[in-house]
Amino acid sequence: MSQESLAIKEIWQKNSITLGIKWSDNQEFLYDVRTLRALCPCAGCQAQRPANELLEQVRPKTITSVGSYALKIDFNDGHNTGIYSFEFLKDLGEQQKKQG
Amino acid sequence: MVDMEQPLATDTNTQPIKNKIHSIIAVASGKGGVGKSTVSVLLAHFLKKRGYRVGILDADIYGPSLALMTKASPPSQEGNTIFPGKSSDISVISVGMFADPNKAQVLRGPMAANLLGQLYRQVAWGELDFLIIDYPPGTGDIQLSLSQLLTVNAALLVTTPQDLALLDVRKAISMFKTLNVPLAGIVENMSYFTCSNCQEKHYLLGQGGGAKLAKEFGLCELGSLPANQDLTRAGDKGLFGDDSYFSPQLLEAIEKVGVSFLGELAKIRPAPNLSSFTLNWRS
Repeated sequence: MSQESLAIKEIWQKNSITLGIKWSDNQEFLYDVRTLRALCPCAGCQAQRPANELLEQVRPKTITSVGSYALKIDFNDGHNTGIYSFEFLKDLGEQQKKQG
Repeated sequence: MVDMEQPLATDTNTQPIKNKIHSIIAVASGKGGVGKSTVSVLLAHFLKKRGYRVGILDADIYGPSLALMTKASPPSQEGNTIFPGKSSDISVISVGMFADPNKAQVLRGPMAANLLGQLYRQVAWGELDFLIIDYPPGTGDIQLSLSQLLTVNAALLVTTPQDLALLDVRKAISMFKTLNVPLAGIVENMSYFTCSNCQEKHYLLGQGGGAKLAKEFGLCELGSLPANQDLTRAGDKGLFGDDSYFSPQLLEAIEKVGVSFLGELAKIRPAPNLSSFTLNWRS
């Protein structure tokens, strides 16, 4: 049985606001960490999105793997409850690529 | 802006206790009462006999079975470190070893998840080839917490033959797919009952459920186990370590499940991916 599930091959900090991920299918995407904070998938942020003016200064403190399917980002604004699934991040990368 | 390429994140072992666990195997179903614990213990003994170092973590907080089923020695504690109980050289940890068996664990999800986290992190498992996680039924809080806490290498699904059971097992398959956990295959339990008088097999719960499910999802049917008095007695009395209690036919059925499992596990290639990491952001 061969199963190709989505996984991260490499993850790195490109610059102070950009996260790079190389996926298991060898596609590489760059992510603005402020966008990730704005799109936080946690229940609290689904109910109320963080205000835009607060996002400019926000940066991650640590990014940690969650099981085999997601990332958890601990932001310097004290927010750390978002679980970013690989699927969510991959879709986001592809969407951004389409929009150029 | 000038690119400041930072070093890659590296794999980290976040456990405070120095354990070295090569493969974490989930034994799960979605459905309750299909024999997840029985299959967990049988698989543990099969692997042990093959020379592997094996541990079992009973992740069923609300209905722990493994203390009774393995009759493992009681765990001990030094400071914050828990040393697992032992049964035929298999390390065993279950909430049932710490709690009054007649008292219910009345806990909400987050508390139950904390308890499980402790049972995994604070236990000195040492070096294991296999840590078998005996999952509780369902696809909810605990199952999600387990999948966040651990990097599960493969899941083995247990079902009984009837459609009603398959309904729940399909949900467990879907859950593991969502959580990116590879599936090693399906064991059909309580497949048949062999009459001791006429030696005929009776299919009390219907026939072919495991095969149907395996075909539906392109998974391997690892084998089927009978409904059997000796298995029931072994569970009640903690006799799984002693093969002399089991008939040659039953031992053969168990062996087939174990061998197929190892075969399927070998096919799940460890991809060159990061499995567990922390990236520290530099400002």
